[in-house]
Amino acid sequence: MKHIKWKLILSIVFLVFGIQILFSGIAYTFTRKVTSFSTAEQDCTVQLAEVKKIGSIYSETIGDETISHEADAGYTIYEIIFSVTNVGLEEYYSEGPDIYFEGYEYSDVCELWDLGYDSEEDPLFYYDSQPYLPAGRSVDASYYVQVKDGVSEFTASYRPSYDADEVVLSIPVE
Amino acid sequence: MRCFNCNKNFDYDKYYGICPKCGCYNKKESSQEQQQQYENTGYEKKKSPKKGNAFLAFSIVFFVVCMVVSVLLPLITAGSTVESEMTGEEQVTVTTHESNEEFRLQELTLKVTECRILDDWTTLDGLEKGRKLIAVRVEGSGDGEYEDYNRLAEPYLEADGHFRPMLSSYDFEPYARMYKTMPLLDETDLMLDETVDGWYAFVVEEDCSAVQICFEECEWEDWNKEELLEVHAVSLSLENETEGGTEHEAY
Repeated sequence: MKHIKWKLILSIVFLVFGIQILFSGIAYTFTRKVTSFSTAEQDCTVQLAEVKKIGSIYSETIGDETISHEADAGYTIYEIIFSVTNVGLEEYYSEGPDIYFEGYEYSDVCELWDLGYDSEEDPLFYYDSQPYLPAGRSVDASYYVQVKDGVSEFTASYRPSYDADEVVLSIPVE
Repeated sequence: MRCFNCNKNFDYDKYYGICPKCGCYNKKESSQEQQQQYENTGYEKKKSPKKGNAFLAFSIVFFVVCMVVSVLLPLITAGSTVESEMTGEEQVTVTTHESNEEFRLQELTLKVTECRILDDWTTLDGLEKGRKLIAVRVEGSGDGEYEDYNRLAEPYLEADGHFRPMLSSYDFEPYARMYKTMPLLDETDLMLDETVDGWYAFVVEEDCSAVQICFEECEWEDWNKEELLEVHAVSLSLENETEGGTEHEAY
């Protein structure tokens, strides 16, 4: 009789702990899911969409002016297009997060920052007319880099949110 | 005396060794010896199942299943969430409307009535090269109850796959007077007023011929955006100077 009683108690303990663990698992799953839709753990996602080879000279016409930029000797200019999605609730006053390009060697790849129209002072409504990425929307954002000839691959890294770990994407070039 | 067959206690002398329950004959001197002999004949006493074993086994299996489900469930759902986030697709539903079409948003009614090209970089001194200035007229109505926190998030413009924020009404006001696009709207409108009729201004690319003005429908927690529910987009053409059938007297 004592033997049976001991087994009954043990069975009940297993049942109670089982139910508790099951409910904890379900509760964790749903709270985690709600969190991911309301205040996302990451603010954005970045995916490589396309790599376009521009050549040794980049040129663009803005208004009545054609601007051009020539790559350094031994380098080729590429346009790297990323599909950026804002998965947070706040807008980006740019077309996504800062992306850093890095090659195996320090001199393998370099982003071209100074492309575009350059004026002595900020144009009218300058800060309200810059690229923008609202909450929940996606955009194809272009970055221009010059890559040393012979380099077949480099990396692009970004942080999905200010406190998130860095995400590294591999960028293959011809 | 205890019967070797059914364990019934009985008085040996009274029953002459015959069990009153099962009728087995029990030798007085050695019931254990008799039991041994009985077993040697090949007859096995039917063992009653041990009570509690099945329930214990069920409990252990249940416990293990619960543990496995608890571990796998978050992993499975986490996988699907990451997958949906990594597709690069829009994360919000975008509902499109036509100009002059009324639509509901956060207990408000909105209507985009006009889109006007105001100027471009060739004639407006200081505007960035290759850009033009446009204004979009919006009419709206709501309950005007401040306590509702039913604020309208700042609209933005989608043009050629890229987005532009609205110009701040503070910066644009002197120009709005010049272009007769007053009053300017901002995010506090429709919080205190039951009806509004005003303009939002934007800077877009010079060659842009069509835009969508987008209004976010949100769930607000006090003054903070709690959840983005939907985006309402109104398509507008910039081919002509004005879009929309209603002509209004300018301020």
